[in-house]
Order: sequence, then structure tokens, then C-alpha cells
Amino acid sequence: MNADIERRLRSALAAQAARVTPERLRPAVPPTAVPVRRPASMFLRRAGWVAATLLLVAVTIVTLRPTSSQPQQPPTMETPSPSGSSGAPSPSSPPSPSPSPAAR
Amino acid sequence: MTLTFRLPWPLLRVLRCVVFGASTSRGTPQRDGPPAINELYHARRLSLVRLAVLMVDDLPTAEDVVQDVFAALYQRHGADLRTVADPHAYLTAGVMNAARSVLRRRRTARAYVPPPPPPAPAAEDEALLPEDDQEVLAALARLTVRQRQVVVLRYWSELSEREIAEVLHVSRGTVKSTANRALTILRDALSESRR
Repeated sequence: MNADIERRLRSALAAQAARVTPERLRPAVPPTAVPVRRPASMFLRRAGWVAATLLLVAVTIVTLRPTSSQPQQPPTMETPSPSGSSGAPSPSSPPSPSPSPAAR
Repeated sequence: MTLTFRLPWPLLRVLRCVVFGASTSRGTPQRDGPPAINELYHARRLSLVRLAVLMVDDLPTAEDVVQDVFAALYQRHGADLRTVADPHAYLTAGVMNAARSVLRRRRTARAYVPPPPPPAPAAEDEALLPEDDQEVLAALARLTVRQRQVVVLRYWSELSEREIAEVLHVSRGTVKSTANRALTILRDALSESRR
């Protein structure tokens, strides 16, 4: 019984397929003749990858740069103090020439 | 004063490929002659449209299915098809998947909208199809999508159970049981029509 069904199936499928002839097909359009249209999501995903890569490169460059954030100050010229102990010279007051009361 | 920032040309090409997805090999095959995908298209188009017709029953839809499968193949693997292990199996599986999507959409639409009257077959088509074949094809419409896929691949494409299992991504046992169930349904339907 199955053999009969199989024979009839093969015959019917072959007959149906044979109705499709090359003359009935639309003109052939090879795949390379049609411009590839990529979805916007794919473009955005690729753009995201590019942005992430550029960001990574920028962070790497900033991290590896020598840290010289503060501007260098010119060295101050220090004059040695007479005492030699303190670095900052203390202004010394000259002796007051005020006359004593006994001198009036 | 103009400050010009010139990237080296290879770097520009890489960036353009990454952003726009343009492969350097796409459309410009490395060997002489037409691209491999175009040769495959011309060699396999007719047989694939026939396969699709046996699934979806009308020629325009079958042609759309095949065109979409080739477009997807080109978009995914380029023109030279070096990355595709077995393009023929890939195309057969693609046609089967696309046809199944068409049939499911069609059945979903029919659940909401009454189906339009079937187009009257052309006189030459009527003459080409014997009555017995028309009965069998009408019985095929009673099968589920999966049963129809197995029957078409088995009795028209003449694939083995193992090959059908690979194309449909199911086990061999599933192929065997599906084929048996489909034959039972067809036998009942044909015996009904004879009464």
C-alpha cells in the first residue's frame, strides 16, 4: 500500500515541478546585481564598535602620557642668611636713633 | 593656515569596511570569471524554484523565496562563498525555512481574513496535470508544514533520512516518524476522495 502511495506521490510532485519551466520564470537577477541593503541596526552596531575602539585608544593615550599637570616654577634664588640656620632672612630693625629722655 | 590630518589609506579602508560593512572581496572576486554565487544562482535557480513551488504552491511566491535566499547568502558570505562548506545544502535548507515562514504567515492570515478564491488554473496547466496527480496534490495540502517538508524532500528531492534530518535540523527518528504519519494522512485522504 505504501509503495502505491509513494509512486503516486513521486508522480504528482514531478508533474507539479515540471510545470515550472525556464520560460515561466522572471528574468534572472543575480545576487551581485542587487545592492546589498544592510539594516540600520547593523550600521549602528558597527558605529558603536568604532566609537568604543576610539574611546579605548584615547583613554590609553591619556593614561600613558607622562603626568606633568602642574607647571614647573622657576627655581628661586636663595641668598644665604648670615646665621646660616634659617632659610628665610629676617628683616632686622636698625638701631633706633631716638634720644633718651635724659639727653633733653 | 590649514591643518590637514591624513590617515594612511589602508587604515581608511579598514575603517570604511568596519563602518559600512563593505568587504574587500564582496563583488570583486579574486579569481577570473563570474562570482561563484552567480554561477550557483544560474545553475540552481530553476530546481530551487521548483522545490519552493512544491512547498508554497504558487510561482511568484516561490521565486521570491529563492531570490531572498540567494540575497541572504550573498549578504552573509559574500560573492566567492569560500566560507560556506556546502552551498547546495545551505540553499536547500534556506528555501525550506523560507517556505515554512511563508506557510505560517499564510495560515495566520487565513485565521483572521477569509481566503480569497483560488485563481483559476491556466488551460495548459490543467492539461498538464492528470486527475490523479491533482488528487495527490490536494491531499498534500492537508499535511502540516513539517510533514510536507519531509515528503517533498523525500519523494521529490530524493534525499535520504539522514540528509533530510540535516537540512531540517531534526533527528532521523523525527524524520522517519513524520514521514510515516504523513503517508498515513495521505492514504486516508486519497481513499476518502475515491469514495
